[in-house]
Amino acid sequence: MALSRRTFTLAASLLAATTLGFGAAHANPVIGERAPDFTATTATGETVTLADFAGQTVMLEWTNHDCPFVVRHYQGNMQGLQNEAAENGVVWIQVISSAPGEQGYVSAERALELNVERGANVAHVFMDPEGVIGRAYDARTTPHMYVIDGEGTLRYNGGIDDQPRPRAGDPAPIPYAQNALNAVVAGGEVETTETQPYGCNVKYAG
Amino acid sequence: MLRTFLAGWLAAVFLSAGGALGQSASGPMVDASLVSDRSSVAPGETFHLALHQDITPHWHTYWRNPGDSGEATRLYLDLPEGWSEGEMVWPAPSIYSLGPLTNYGYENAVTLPVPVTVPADASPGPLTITAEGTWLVCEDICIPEDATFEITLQVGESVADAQGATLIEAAYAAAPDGARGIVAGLARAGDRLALTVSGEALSGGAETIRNLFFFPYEGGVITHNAAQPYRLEAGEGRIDLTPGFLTRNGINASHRGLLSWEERQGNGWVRRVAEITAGANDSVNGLPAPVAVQGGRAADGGAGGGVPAPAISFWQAALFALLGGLILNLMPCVFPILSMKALTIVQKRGAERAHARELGLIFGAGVIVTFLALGGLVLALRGLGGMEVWGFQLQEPWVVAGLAALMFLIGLNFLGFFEIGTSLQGVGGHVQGNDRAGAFLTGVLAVFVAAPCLAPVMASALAFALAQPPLASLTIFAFLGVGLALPFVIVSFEPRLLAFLPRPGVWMERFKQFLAFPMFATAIWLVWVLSVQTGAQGVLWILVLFLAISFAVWALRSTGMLSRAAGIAGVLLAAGALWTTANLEPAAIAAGDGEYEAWSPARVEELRNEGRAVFVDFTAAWCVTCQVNKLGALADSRVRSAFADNNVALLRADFTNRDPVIAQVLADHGAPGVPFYLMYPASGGEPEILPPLLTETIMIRAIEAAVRD
Repeated sequence: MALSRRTFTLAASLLAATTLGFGAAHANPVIGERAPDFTATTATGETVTLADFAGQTVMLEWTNHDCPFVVRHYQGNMQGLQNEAAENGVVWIQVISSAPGEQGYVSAERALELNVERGANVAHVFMDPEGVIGRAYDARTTPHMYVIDGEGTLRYNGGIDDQPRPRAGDPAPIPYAQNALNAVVAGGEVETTETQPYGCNVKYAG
Repeated sequence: MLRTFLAGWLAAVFLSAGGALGQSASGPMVDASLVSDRSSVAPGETFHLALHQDITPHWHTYWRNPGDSGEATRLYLDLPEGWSEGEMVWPAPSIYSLGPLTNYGYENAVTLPVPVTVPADASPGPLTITAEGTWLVCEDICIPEDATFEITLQVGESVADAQGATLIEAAYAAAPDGARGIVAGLARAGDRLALTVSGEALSGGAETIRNLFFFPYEGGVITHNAAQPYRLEAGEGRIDLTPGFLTRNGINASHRGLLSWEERQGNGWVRRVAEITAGANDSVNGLPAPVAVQGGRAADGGAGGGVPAPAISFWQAALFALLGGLILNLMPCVFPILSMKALTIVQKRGAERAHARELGLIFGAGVIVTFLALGGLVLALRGLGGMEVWGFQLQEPWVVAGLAALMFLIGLNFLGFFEIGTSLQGVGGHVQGNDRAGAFLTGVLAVFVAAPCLAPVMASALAFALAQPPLASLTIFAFLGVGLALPFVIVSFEPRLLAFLPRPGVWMERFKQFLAFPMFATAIWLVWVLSVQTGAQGVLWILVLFLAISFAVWALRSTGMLSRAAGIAGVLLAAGALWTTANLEPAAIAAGDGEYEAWSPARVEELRNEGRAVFVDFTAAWCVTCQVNKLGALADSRVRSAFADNNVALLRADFTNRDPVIAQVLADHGAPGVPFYLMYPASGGEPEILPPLLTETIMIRAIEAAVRD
């Protein structure tokens, strides 16, 4: 009975997905719900899915190495966050959704080289030139950060911090993404779950 | 391409020379200056300093809310002691779309004034003010730029600076001048936000006002790239927005923003703007949800008024309709009929092949014409103010009874109880014209038998179709027909696709007989729907209908006078039974059964006043998804104990029969029909709308959220 109900629900979901999937403007990933699934090709040529990271906290970082906002954060801030995350067993993933010919589009080799040059400390680089993962996550800017917990639940979606352009004398930025990541690693609640990301637009195809 | 390369190079130079962001150098893409509308200011007066940007063609800088990406332009004034500054004045922005992203900003040139007040005791003489501007300028790529400025003014008499004053006046003219008497409110309407605006300024009709559009001052209030369909009637407007992360779980604050529209002046259109503050509204004004996507563009008469990417394009919708139609082929109501038709084609050989192709096309035409007719009928009903909520046709007991009888009859036919004129086995021997009519009628029939499967499964899709302008909505209906007809038409052209089937033979007869049973199953479901609608009386009369029909069919198989008479008597009895069903009083549906009480708006109020969380299940017997939820997530023991542990009040609203109160509530929330679920939090506030397909996890989360704090 339980099995047949599940099968029925599955079939109904399938139909519903085809026929009810009209209302939403874009498929916004929802905080507290399952993070959008992905099948990604990494810069080292592996194919991985969200399920492969079950039990681990994941940080997704949309990046474009030529975007000035990304360049600013890679002057030390980003590497610092990545090192801290690595110590905490977090899987840090860069996603490159720039389309071929657009700023930030690089070959897999170049993506890995860039990370060596910058001293970036990441577990994977996802090559997403068609923007499939980017659109599934509604990634809008570089940087744009997402935290996914070990159960695959989306816990944070937004900017890396609250200051697009810090000036001398400004208070220290609120590191939203870092705060969220630390809260999830510590098994606590994320205080600010969504913020407006800032930066360059993701250079999608089309 | 060259431009991209050049920009990239410039960015590289900028970055390597300037390090991070923050070295002062007028950037390469914007020629910026600090201007004043006074060359000499008097103590005590308010004048303006403004950042003026000349922007490289095709590049843009950003408005106060940059949209999906980007960065708002800033001007930091270093004013002497005692001088004070006001809020920056932002001319109305244009919309820039890049792929799925939408941005708000300026092209070519913009002036951003800041009001500055001189203290009354300012000492006369020359005075130098320094300022820093920061902005992001983007085309395909983005370059952060900044610059420091210096301007020297005299303090003494008030003397205008002609050039600066012209720029600043133009900026004011393009910026909102207060609310212009417009009152605004923001409310949840289903999974969307309804922004209602009213005021004298909007009193013109569609002939004189167009392109109503809302630009929030803050990011996260709306989804920037979603279309903004609106409705405007005699000074009252309603714009439907897609919530952003700040409003997705309720509206907790007032939101400021720019309302933009165009007003006819002579033969042209002039852009108007007003600053509105939309407070959380409990209910939407009287206007129904907008049906036509008229908005979606905030033109400014100048260059660069882009169009935000529509949420779902017309062709996407058509594609979905096509898919939906294809899926219908597999539904228990439709599959048997089409399989039988396909089998007749397998048997065609030689010259008959061409005929089979022709029949395939005629069948397709039959399906599409019927869908168009249905679509037209629904549109006409809507125009007449009929029920907007889809699925209504199954609220008529006689429609349910008629469909059940049709299913029963088709089942009998499959079992070989009787043959129809154009026999499904017809291998020649029939007049071809008759065959053609038969093919067309099979198309019509396919749509009718699909109807009970169509309504519950495709409610939202059809609601979307109906929300389009008539022509587009009919096209979507047509695509549904194309989808339904396609597999059969393809098979009629290329019967080899069925080559995996065994040679025609006895198995076909057995298969046909087997297909009777899905038809009977559908009939049983419809009888159950009728039993909920009309009670035991309805069941009695529908069974009488079945009896009369089968008797009539049996009698008419013989051509004798007596049989004819008996057959006609049977038909009359069947008609009588159907008539009786149509006139049955709707049964009082016991919406409250088990843990559920019957729903009413007053009961919701009462329970909420007791401080309880309230869950409302809007359901109907004819709604398949509703039954799935009822037997699945809602019956789950974890969910039920979560309801009990958290003292959640359970109400059920049954929409099996017509109910204007329920229809109104559904319309208020923008729901196209049932299933529809509301979870009112215990702490008060807006109810959460749960998805149409519930799972245990969704329910547990919703219950926990409703009783939090």
